Amino acid sequence: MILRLTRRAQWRSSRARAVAAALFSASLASVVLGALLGAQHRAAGERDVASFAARLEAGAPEKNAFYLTAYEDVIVARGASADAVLAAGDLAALPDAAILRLSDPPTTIPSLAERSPSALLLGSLDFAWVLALLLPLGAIALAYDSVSRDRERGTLAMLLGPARSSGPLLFARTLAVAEVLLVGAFPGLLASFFVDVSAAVVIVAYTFLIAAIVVAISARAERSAVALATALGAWLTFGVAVPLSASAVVRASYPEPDPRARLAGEKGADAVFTRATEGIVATEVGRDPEMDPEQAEDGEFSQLRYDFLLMRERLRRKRGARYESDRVQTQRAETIELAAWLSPTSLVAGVLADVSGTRPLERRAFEKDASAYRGDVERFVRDDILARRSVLEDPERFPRLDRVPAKRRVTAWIAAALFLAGGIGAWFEATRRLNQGGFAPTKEDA
Amino acid sequence: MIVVEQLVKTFGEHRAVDGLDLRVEAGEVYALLGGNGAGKTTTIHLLLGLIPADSGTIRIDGVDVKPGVRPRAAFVPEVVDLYPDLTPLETLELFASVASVDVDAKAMSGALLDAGLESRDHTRRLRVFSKGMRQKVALAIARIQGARALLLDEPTSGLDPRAAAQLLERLSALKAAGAAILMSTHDVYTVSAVADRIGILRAGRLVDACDKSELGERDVAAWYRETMGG
Repeated sequence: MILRLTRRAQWRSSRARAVAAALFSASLASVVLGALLGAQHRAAGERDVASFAARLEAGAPEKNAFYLTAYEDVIVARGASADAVLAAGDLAALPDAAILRLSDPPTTIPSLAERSPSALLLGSLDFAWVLALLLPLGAIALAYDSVSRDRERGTLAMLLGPARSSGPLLFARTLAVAEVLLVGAFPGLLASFFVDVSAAVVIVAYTFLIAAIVVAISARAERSAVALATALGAWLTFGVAVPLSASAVVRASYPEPDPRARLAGEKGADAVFTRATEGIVATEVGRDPEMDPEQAEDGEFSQLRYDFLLMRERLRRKRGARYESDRVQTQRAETIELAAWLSPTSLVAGVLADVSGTRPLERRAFEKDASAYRGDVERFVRDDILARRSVLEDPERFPRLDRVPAKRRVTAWIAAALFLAGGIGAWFEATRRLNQGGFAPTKEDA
Repeated sequence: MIVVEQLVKTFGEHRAVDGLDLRVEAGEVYALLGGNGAGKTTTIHLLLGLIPADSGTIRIDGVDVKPGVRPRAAFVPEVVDLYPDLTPLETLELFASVASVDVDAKAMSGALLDAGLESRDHTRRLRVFSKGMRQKVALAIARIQGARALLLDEPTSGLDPRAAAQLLERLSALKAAGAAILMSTHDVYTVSAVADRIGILRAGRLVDACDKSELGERDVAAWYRETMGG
């Protein structure tokens, strides 16, 4: 009964409808733009496939019957057919010897979101960040005065005077606020549901948590202005400052290893990381006759880049290098993951990324598997493709590495449980304070 | 019945209520007169259990008010500001639910009618209501909450004479129904019209109190001025 009437009063207010509409627009935009970005990648890939098929039909040399396509900072290795996606990797990570990934279609590229601010808004998975940051703001706009306003105007005293407990009222208000937020976040919620049900549960629990916190802040504050300042301060602290500070501390403690260090002392190493020149190619071909720059075309078909990738790997393996940076990178990823638990905002975004398998630690784990896979690809290129075997007609023979999902749903469920417990704790504390006459004195009192 | 003994409340150095004793019987209206800052609103908040007392006892309708224990007392603030997007009927339903009172639509309509709100206004949103109309809704709320004690803070403040007269009529009806009513006010006319007992509060202390009948022909305003020293 209390919930029904609280919801009714809320939905009739223009503020609730405005907050829901604003959140809905932002959430829908992020999901739609993410989908468009994915479609753009797919379309680009399909164009390349068609172009490549045309080249094959026109009698292009069979030895180069695989190719790489670069989309901004993403690189995709393809076979001859549309289905034959060999690998998708991160161009920016190429100095780290390419984290090769196999995906079909190769549109889910987590590193794109992690590295590009604009992609945070556009990436198909990045509604997590949009929701994580905007939901608290929506909750504040909607409910910062949900209790304090009643207190200021004496309505709370009318309501609670004869009531046994303020608990049902506060719980109803929390649920009503959460409902508006969830309606606003519906596109993202729906998208997360298709990623994994645990992702949707995390969003619901997170929404409940922030609704409960904002209502509790409002119940505790002497004035609505104080409630607003406190809620915004909490958002800035735990939603922005803590994640940024934690990230900065981690990055300062574990600086990104310079990939150039891997090739320190190698002749022409700097040039390898900057741009491919004919001179460098000639030098490398001199070292490794298997490379054939005659067939390389930089541009739409980035064979040359792949050649350099292989070249670097060969150099690395010849030296049997085991890099200190591997250990540092792992420590860095682990610490970043731990730091995320300092903030509900970064936690929810991190957990959603976790569910979708894009966490730094997961990437490190995947990199180990990918290392073996790189060897397979290299052998495949050397022994099959470069040896002019007609394997491309049989995609089954391509080395495959199924994307290691590593969807750590357990983390998601733990986070959801923590969020729910936190929300219930906030509600309980606010109830306890109000039940014990925890009203701050009004101006009139003093 | 409302019984207050040796009630004390301080805010920092300021003693807002200082050893207050008062008693309001069932079917009686007690008016607390006093200037701004005399401690009237604080006293009402203490009685409602909305702020904790430093010392003293409060007993309302058999319940000792203390942290975690609030009395079943209805409250009407000086400015009644309800939820503008609910109707009076919905508002009564909400307040009854929070107070865990089971009341049907007929009883709610009856309470609104008794409070002087016409039927056609029962389903209009409060957004368009005047202060006097909201006051009537507040009195209806007090009635359906079923509390036997009613606390009012400056109930006639800002009301036009007709609305004020209607309010006093409703208070008289509630008194006749057996409610113990305590109100704070500046308005000696209200006191004269409805109060059975009157207390004068100054700096948190009850400096004088009497039955209205004890005043005889004396004017309440004159007595108040005498007590307050001019």
